Amino acid sequence: MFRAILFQQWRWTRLIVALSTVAAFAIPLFSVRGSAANLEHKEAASFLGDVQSWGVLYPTLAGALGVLLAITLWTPDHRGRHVYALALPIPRWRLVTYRYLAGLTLLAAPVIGLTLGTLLASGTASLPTGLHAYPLGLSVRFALAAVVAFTLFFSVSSGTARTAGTILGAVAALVVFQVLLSAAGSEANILMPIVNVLLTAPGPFAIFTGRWMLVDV
Amino acid sequence: MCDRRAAGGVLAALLTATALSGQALDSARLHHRADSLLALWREANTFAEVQQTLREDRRGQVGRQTRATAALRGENPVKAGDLMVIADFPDSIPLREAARRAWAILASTYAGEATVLVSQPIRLAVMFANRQPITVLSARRIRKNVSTEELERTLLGLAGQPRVDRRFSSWLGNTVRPVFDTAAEQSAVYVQLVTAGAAAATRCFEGSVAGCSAALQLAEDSEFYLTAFDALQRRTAVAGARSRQVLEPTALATYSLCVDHHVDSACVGFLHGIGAGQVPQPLSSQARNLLVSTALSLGGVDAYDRLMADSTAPVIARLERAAHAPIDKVVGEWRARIIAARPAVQGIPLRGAIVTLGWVGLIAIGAIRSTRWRLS
Repeated sequence: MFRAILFQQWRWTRLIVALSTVAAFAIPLFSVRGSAANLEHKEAASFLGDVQSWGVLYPTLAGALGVLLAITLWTPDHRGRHVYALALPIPRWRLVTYRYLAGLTLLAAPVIGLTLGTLLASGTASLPTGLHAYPLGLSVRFALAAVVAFTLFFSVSSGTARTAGTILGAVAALVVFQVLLSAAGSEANILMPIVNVLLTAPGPFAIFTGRWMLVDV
Repeated sequence: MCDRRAAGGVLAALLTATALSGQALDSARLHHRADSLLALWREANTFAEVQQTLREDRRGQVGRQTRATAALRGENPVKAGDLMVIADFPDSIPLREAARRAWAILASTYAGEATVLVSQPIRLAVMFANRQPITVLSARRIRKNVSTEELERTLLGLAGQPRVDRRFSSWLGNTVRPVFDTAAEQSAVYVQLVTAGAAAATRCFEGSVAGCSAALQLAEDSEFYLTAFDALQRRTAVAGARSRQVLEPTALATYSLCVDHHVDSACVGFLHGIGAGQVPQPLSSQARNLLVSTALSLGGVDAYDRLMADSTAPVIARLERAAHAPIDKVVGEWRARIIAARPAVQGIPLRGAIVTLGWVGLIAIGAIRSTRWRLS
């Protein structure tokens, strides 16, 4: 059953998985293009700046990959009003578990692509004294971020359109309420504490924040 | 004929004597003028010192009066050491903690000078909706939801920094600043050591105290680029210092010899010509300020006063006097602190990974446990 679901999901998401794997492999290689052992004044700082600029792409790719994969996995069900799933001779929890595990299996391809890319980039880059490459740390971080994004949107997408609408509506209502508060001259800020809780450790999205550097001091 | 010669000789001798006596008179007059100018300069200096003392005394008196009347007028001043802060709504902001921290930094940095800096109380006006108009115009406006750190920085900024003599400020590039966030500043200097691209900075990073001294320009040498940079770095400094288009023909020839033909003596000549101020420094003023901070922390009480005691002494001697330690020990300690402050690597700690997996598990179980098929 799992293999059948995995194959079916692969057919649905192969374009997303293939493109993200290529991107995940290429980004580290592009990020260390300016490396050289004898970098001069300002060049080493500029090189680190470049690596940091490229670093923005890792969490972006991890987030986008997780979101797109999760949504794509449930789109046929929403379109078919869950009739296909109802027709299967297994309980819902088992179907969802298989779907989730198959999704995680598909996520492995871009993660492996990124790991190979970072290892290759670190091996070929010539770094000045004091700079180090962190290929495995970056790959683990990318994997965790992609899993977090995938899991969250998998959970939202596995419900009905009404569930997704309720969640998005609640977020929009918070934003609108904050705008109204500010317009009324109030100094109260209800949005920032929530954002802080989500984005700082031990929040669920803390993994996305901070410096994503393949090369650092 | 002989008479004529004798007369000519006498005339020449007379002229020479007149000229010499005139010269002697001129030099005597000039000496006299110089002496009187010196006397005038000394007098002006004395007057300036008296004026400065009076001004400081007046400021001190005003400060004392303001301090004395603040309590009487019910202004509820907040005191920490010699620092007094008068805020119109002191309990609505974290003033006590911020004042305590600010005074601790000021006292540990400036020793006796800290008291002079805060002789005048600092006035704050807390801003919030529907408050009555601010009557004290000199009061610094502060948001009601200001954090302790922001307020501490504001108080340090308002207290200011003592003036530093020219020799020390030319080396330091600024006045002595209190180090607010030591770990962050040390991390920033660590990154500088790695990315400076100066041979001396690299030697310093690798463990050479002499390299650190050269990178920190402790010798106060205007030709620091001879010890801090290698030939390649000097060439890069020349190429970065000026654009080829703006150079005059002679300078352009030297520039070309240096940049195009890699002649190091031409690079040295060019850098000498543009002056030390135009040459990129191996490390920033922040690094040197941290060295001063290290010397002050090693020296303990009154270290700042010892640092500023002799404005004519070389920087090395002053740092040694302030720290009560030889310069190699001060620089070694500075380096050890910088190396220890290496920024955290960007990998995630095990605890962070476990927490993230915990969130993943929680959300995934939420999705899987939902058993009802919802079709609408």
